[in-house]
Amino acid sequence: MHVKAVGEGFIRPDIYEKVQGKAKYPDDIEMEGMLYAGVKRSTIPYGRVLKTNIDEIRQMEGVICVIDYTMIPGAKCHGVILKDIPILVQDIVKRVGDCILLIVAKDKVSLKKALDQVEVEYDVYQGVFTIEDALKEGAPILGDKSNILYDIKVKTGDIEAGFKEADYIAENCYHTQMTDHAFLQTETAVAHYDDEGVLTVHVATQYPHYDREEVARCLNIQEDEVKIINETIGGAFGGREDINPQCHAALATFITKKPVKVVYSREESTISRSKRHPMEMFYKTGVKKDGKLCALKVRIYGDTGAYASWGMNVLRKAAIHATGPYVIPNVDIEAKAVYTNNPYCGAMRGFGAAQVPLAYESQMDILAEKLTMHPLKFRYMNAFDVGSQTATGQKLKSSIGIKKCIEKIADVNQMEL
Amino acid sequence: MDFYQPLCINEVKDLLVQSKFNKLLAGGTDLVLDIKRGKINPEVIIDINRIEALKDIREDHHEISIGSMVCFSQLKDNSLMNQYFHSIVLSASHMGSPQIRNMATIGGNIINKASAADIIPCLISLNAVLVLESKDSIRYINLETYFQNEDWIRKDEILTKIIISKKNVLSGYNKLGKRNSLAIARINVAVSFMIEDKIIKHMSICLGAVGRYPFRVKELEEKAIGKTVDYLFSEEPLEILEQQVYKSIKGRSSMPFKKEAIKGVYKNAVMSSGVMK
Amino acid sequence: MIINGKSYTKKIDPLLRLIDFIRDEAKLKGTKEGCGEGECGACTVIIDGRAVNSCLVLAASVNGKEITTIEGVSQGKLHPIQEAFIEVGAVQCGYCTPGMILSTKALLDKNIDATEEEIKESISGNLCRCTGYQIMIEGIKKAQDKLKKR
Ligand SMILES: Cc1cc2nc3c(=O)[nH]c(=O)nc-3n(C[C@H](O)[C@H](O)[C@H](O)COP(=O)(O)OP(=O)(O)OC[C@H]3O[C@@H](n4cnc5c(N)ncnc54)[C@H](O)[C@@H]3O)c2cc1C
Ligand code: FES
Ligand code: FES
Repeated sequence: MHVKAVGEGFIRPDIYEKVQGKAKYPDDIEMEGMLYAGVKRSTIPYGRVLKTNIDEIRQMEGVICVIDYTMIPGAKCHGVILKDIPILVQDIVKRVGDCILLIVAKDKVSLKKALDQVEVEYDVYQGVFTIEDALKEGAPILGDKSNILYDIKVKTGDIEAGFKEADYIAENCYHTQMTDHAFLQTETAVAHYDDEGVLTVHVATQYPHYDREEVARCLNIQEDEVKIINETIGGAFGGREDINPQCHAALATFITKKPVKVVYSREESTISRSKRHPMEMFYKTGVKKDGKLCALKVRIYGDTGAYASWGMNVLRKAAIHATGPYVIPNVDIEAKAVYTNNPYCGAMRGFGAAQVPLAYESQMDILAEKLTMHPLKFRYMNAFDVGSQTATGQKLKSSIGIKKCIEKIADVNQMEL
Repeated sequence: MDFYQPLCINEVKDLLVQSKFNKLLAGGTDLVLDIKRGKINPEVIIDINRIEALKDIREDHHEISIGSMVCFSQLKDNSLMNQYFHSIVLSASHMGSPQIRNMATIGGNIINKASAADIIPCLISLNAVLVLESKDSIRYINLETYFQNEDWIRKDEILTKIIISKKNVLSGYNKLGKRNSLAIARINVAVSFMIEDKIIKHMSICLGAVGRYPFRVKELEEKAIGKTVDYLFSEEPLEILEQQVYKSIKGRSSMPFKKEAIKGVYKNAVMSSGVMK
Repeated sequence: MIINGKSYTKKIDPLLRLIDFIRDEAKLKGTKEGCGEGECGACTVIIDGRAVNSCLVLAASVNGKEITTIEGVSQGKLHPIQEAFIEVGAVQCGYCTPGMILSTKALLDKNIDATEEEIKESISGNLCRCTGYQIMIEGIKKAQDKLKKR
């Protein structure tokens, strides 16, 4: 099949506006009579809200209204798979950054003053911040009955027999850190009622259709009473998959009937948004003298933080990709997503497939050394090809470029494979 | 909140004696953020950006004087700096980003007295003197003494210039940051030397970001006198520096790293001074 | 103050930042805020020929000065830097683009023969999370050619 666009250099249509500064991002929207809203977020990772000075804040100059969870007409929580992230908390906070009060004010300055004045009294609980602690007996339960959000096993062949065949074994633990998307345009939403009375939210999002569903659920209205307009997106990288300011802006407009803008500062953006899962990866890889991989045992734990988000999908992907692009006949993989009181983790470029290469490629280098074989050659010997079968049983039929890629590298380095 | 934009230094001095809580605004790269973060809340801002007299770099027979409102881009490109003070040029080039260097001033950097400030170790190693002026006094304070005695600028004073002797010295600087651009120094080292026939006649070394304020390492300076330049790359200086860093930041988690890293930063700083040539 | 040749006179709060003046008072939305702390360069504008972060400048302080924002770069038609960015495709999400173009302009206005090192240096205060910078360096080189031919 020949697709005309592939391999052709096209000028992207949005570039003209972008180089002139004319592209419209959500914060560039202004409306007559627009109010500003923002949330007071928890400053502790785990505990119960005992009291706030909400009445005092309501009296402040420039404050139009202060919204707490009791004023949400519909669903109190959102989430891409499980509906577990509070739009405003009832009382329990599970991470730094949980939303407590939503303040609507007449301008940015009054809003900032009001947010600075909010006082929250907590009953502070002892939280868990490592995977190890979260899995200990007696740890506080953050999920539904346990701290394990998700558990997946991938098995093929006979793992014990596989290791028996092995002449060399490498056994190591690898660890990756939490990462933030840090897209350049911070989360912003503008909500208002359009001419036809439809509640409209202007936002930069990866899922306008999910957003519509979440806003409608939150306000307890029909989906066709909500419109999401996707403005120019200032980077996303997975970080705009979960709801951020959408429900807050919509809720504020729903209650005040006025256009409302919510803008995150860089600090709020960093505190509130999902992250890339830090993972602990225990790898045991066996290889035969002739350089053929024969067994792989993997245990992966992903710190999924306080809420589910895409945690299950991310750990699933990690498990599926745990062998790397290599043929291994005997495999035993388990991956778990574990709740903690850390920032919640979700989608970010690669979606779980980005962490495991650190482990499987390091193993390859270590084994190559044991075999005294060139690492590129060792990879080439074991790489997937058309007809190979992955650990999950998938027969690869086309587009398997790894061998070709290694051949090119060898070519450049003038080496024999 | 009052905002003044005086055109001459005397006007500033008059404003400074008024009793309100006032702040001078230079490049604003520290001050604007401090205000935004609610760290300070001045009643009066005195913007000194319009005072041309503070923006000069001047030379006379013995010394060079740098106006407090000279920004880092100016320092980096100035011909006198390039001729006499290589360390200042190096540190100015590695400070912040181009935009920050266009705004941030040498005066603001000194008065803000951050432990990791880039230019302060250079100025201390070059034995710089501050000129602090008020309505009825002028004080000349050696920068090292300024930090040692915590003899800070008074509320009615303005830093007008920084004076450095032109004595023929070699100087160098190196900084370790977490990335190339916009990195606050994790460690920085400034050195200056007088060398005759490969023999060290004078050495001055100042370390930054390994203590509350930058400080000199007198033990090394004394030991180096009379030795050949090869001494600088021997084991002894490295051991002295390791000990100094250990003593200075004993309780901190960064100590084990910094006491090793200082050695590399020191070597780079010495190399950059051109003593080996 | 004078922004892109147009004069604005207004009584303002002394603490109003230049970026807020540009976006909220002058209603020029091309200048972007990415961090508000001088770290990202999205808010870059040119004052007296030099690139600065408008999030760190108090508007009151630059009263009377000439300021160039992205809207002032293309007077009537695209500036060669903009043309070059389009041709090489140096833009993804576009949020860093106005700042990047102004940093480039500040450089090339002064030094049309800037070396690759100087180009890299000149945009080192502009964070881009999308592109990886290489394509921008190509764009800036192309802009140099275009400007020289003019
Ligand atoms: C993104 C970013 C990156 C940075 N990177 C670096 C870096 O790499 N290295 C580094 O050292 N610093 C760095 N800084 C810090 C800052 O830029 C410097 O400290 C700068 O030199 C401060 O100068 P200024 O002119 O901006 O001072 P201002 O912010 O205007 O003033 C700072 C303080 O000094 C007082 N003051 C200023 N001038 C005078 C004077 N003449 N007399 C009396 N008082 C005065 C002010 O009242 C204020 O209290 C960075 C800052 C930012 C925002
Ligand atoms: S917004 Fe000014 S530098 Fe980031
Ligand atoms: S194009 Fe998105 S930040 Fe540069």
